[in-house]
Amino acid sequence: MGNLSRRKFIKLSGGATAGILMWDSLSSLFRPLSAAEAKTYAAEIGKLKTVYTADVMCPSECGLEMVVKNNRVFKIYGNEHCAYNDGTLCAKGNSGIQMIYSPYRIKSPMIRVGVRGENKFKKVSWEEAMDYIAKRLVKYKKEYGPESVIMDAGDVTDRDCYWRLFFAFGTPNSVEHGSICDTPRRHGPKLMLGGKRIEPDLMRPVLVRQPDGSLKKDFTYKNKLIIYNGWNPFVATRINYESRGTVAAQVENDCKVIVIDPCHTNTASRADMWLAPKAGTDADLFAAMLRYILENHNDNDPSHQYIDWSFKEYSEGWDDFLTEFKSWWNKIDQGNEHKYYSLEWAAARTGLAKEKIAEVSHLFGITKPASLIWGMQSPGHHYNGSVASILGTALNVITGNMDIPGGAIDTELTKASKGGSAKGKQFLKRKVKRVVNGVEVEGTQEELNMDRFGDWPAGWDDVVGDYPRRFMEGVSLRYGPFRGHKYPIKAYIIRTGNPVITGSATYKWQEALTARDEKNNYKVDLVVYIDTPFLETGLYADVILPEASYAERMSLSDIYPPHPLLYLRDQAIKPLHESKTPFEIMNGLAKALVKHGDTDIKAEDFWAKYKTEEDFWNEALLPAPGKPNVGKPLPYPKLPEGYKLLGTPDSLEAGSVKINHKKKVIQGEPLTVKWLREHYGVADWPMSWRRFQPDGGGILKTGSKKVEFVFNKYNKYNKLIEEAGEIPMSIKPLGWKRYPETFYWFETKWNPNNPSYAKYAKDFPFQLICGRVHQTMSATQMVPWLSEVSVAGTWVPMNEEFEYGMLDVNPARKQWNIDKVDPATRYKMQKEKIRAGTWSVGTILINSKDAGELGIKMGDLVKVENPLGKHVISKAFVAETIRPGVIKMGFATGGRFSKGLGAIYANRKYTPNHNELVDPEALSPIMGEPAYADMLVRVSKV
Amino acid sequence: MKQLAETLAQRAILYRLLGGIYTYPLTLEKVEPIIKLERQDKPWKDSLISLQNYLKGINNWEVFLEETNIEYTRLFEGPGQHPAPPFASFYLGDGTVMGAPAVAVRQEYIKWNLAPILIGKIPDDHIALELTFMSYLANEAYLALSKNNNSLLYVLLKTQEEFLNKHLISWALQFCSNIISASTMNFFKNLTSLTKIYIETDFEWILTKKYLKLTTEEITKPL
Ligand code: SF4
Repeated sequence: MGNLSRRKFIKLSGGATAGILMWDSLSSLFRPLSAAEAKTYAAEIGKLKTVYTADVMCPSECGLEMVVKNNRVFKIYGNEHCAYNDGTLCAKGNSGIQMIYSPYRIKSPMIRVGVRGENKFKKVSWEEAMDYIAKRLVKYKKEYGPESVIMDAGDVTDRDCYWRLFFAFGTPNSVEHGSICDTPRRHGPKLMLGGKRIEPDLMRPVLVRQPDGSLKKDFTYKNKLIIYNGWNPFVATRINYESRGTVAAQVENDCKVIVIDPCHTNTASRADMWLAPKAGTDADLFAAMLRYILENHNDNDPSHQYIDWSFKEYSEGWDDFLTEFKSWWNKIDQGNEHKYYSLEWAAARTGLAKEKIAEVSHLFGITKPASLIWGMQSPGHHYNGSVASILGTALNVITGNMDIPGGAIDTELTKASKGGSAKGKQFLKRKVKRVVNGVEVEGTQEELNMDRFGDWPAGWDDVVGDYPRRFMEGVSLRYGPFRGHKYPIKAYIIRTGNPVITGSATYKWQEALTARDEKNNYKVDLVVYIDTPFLETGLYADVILPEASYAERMSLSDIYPPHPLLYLRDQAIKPLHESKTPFEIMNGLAKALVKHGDTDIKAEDFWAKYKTEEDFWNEALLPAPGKPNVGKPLPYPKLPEGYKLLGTPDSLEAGSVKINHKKKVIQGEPLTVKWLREHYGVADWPMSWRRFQPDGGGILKTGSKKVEFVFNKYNKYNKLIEEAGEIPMSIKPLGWKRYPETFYWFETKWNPNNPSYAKYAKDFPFQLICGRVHQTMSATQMVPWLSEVSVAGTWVPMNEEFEYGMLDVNPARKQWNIDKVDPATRYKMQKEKIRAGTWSVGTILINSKDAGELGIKMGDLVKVENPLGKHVISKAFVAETIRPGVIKMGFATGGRFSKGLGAIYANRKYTPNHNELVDPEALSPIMGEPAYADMLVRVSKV
Repeated sequence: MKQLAETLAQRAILYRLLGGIYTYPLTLEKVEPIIKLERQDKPWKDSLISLQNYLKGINNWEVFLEETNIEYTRLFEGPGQHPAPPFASFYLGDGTVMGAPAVAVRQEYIKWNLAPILIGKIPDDHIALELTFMSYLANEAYLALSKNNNSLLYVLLKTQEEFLNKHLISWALQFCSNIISASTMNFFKNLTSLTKIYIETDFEWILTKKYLKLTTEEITKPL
């Protein structure tokens, strides 16, 4: 820079100072600009640039329009070209600027220098951090196999780069947060449809082929009835369009909405009917609805034509399912002396009037189109949630509501394909050898998976809730070629997730991450935490890597639209501070692994293959949309029906395609990042309905390409069980020897309806449920705006006085023209006292009748204890908005102990961490999901 | 004239030294020159002596640097909440980084044909950048004086006064106070005491300089 940098040293005359400085090292901060460069830079100031991208402030991942000014994200709007959120943006999405520019985000790589949990780290270079990680990973691979390393790619859908790297490294244990989110909820659709998420047909507008051949945006809502069971889309957003769509369908199409939830949620406040059952009785209600519909259906009476028998054309195994379901009808439930699934039985179990159960069943049967939706806070978080989701799927199918306009859509089946070979799943097919009990055996990398070949054969989405046990005990493979192979977990790499708070019991995670072996080393020798905010799990990390925020990285989004709709997450700004994008981390760590001797990672699979981020995402876009040209109206009537569609919407529309009749593939122009950028970041293909096809050419993804009422998907696990002769420990408690062929039934845990737990009901008379508070999910509590907005019952301004760093402008307040205030005293960033009762904190919601009996008043401090000897302290919010006998907490709203979270940390001592009360052993038997909403508690005033 | 030259050179060096010390990691090369600085009869002399004495008392530099870098991480980086984010926008804006203060200083840098090497990544209003920019201006002033370019000297001094007034002094004092109260290491306490008093007295010095009050004709004449 100027004269200083051109000289190596500067000497000052006259002895004024000692003056010998190494200017080179010090002047590394600036560089000189040529006059032309300076002019360009100056001209850029104040200019606006629009980038179309996608959110990650919550799992809805809405399409966004970011306006960038002076290299800074200046405004965030919803992307009006993205039908998913149709230009809308919630307050949380708007607060993204506070997240991106938070001074407390992770800015540089760091290495732990204290003990785990102490929060003592040292900033290091990327090179040092990568070397630290790579050296160890190579060592574990040599000593224990690559399977001893877990890559948990967390809560955001852009995990492809991490998966690719770790699949290539050799571990099959690359997972995601979904496995501790709501797997039982998805189980039924996955088993029976090959899908995952049944949602109401509420996304509007959709592009629809018109009779004249043109494509037009359709804004009309066809829904007539939506039943939300334990699903609160107005607050717990995941499917953004359900918030606006539910209200629009009510207003524009006279759609009736029924909300079934022990708590009067925001969605319930808009409902035509609110039913408040006892907690954990979703399967009971659904079973009673199915029995009612089967018993009262009459083909000849239009007022009782519930079943649309055409479902038999595109399904198989109904008779088996029915026989098994009916086999329970004459059995007596010892808990209430009623016959299973009868209205009386369901009334006794749910606490709802039997007339109401009949009314809902009738309404659902008779109203077309209708949809029955169940959420993550009900079947998703109960031990027997898979039973409920199987019944719910059956109800939607037999009433003829699946995939019809205004009905129920399995959005996993309809969204565009993406990822493809970029995801790296092909590496899982590599042949590997292990010596098991002294014998060398060969299998695929995939068959080393700790869950599917260990204790959870049907844990398709992996079983993160059971990690603490495996961290402590190690993994034993029980099925497949490597049966008998044992390995420890030596490294846990967690990215954009916070399992210490969200992945089952917090104390179990803490124990497992701090457990030592006989040599006093940590059992899990390496924990790497990769994220933008700093959350509790980071406290237990050995290495922290700063990941570029969502405004700074590239990837793809498509959160469960009813038809293929894919949009780009683009880099609005450069990665801030020293953060790197997942793509850069992938290539950086790949190089470091090679440097330290890894032989599985090849340049041609990483940095030599993908020179830029765009190269990578272009490959991930190749399989899009990947759906067959089917349904009514046919998306592309000029192209062969039933063939798989690939390529950009406009090339398919124009017919600029190559058709492979043998493979039944229509290939248009491949979709690319460039194409997306030229089209507001969005690729939107036409909508159609009735895509379940009798001939198996539709969108169903089961083995038979039909709806499967016989559970063929379990066959391969049963085969493994037969070969091994060992019953999985996960299903043993159910008394099963194998996975069932069709309908099954089992009780949930920690529920008074379950005879094994009835004994606790006297001392622990309350059921504890939990719900998501949109603005205060695990990571976004570091955004102060959001912390201030309350949610009735579980996030309320009930704080005690606390100190919080805030900016005081003109603290002396003597001179009111700020420019005239002495600059030295113009601003003061100081700790302010936040008055009691002015800041939202996590609370428990308790019914006023219950509270009255316990002498608890609004705002009282209460203790909530469970039979496992654990307790939390919380303020009570007393209201009518919850069923008596049930209390509710927000998920991750309290007891938060990462300083990175700001005010919530200051209030940690009297706010509840719900996961202190969850039973770490209660993992749903098929999927391994923690039963977050199954617990009995007692409440007392402190 | 000679005294002014010495002061300007000394300011260039001290600002540069301080700017360097607030960049990570702390190294021996960055610290050593501080020990060699002459102790002049200036208001910040005591702070300098304290810092020098502290540094002279260090027996094991390796241990010192390791501890200091860990403390640097805790003070300025986190992870999570930390006592002294080193960015003006944090103190002068809404508590986020890269706000209007960062753009304002970027404009200043561009006027002088400079750009932070990590533009768009490290916020332009990082303490190290602002201190180093002051050093640049002081050095340019020194060179202008040695070439008898009084109009340029005037502009440079005026720019320094404004930069201190509008930018550095309005937040750096609070930044330093945060460190003084939060740090458990005397090195940081001494360093920030020196930084604080140096910026304050330098601002006083520049305000009292009659050169800033000269008329346009006067400034074209030799001083
Ligand atoms: S719903 Fe979620 S993804 Fe959509 S704008 Fe709000 S925070 Fe962002």
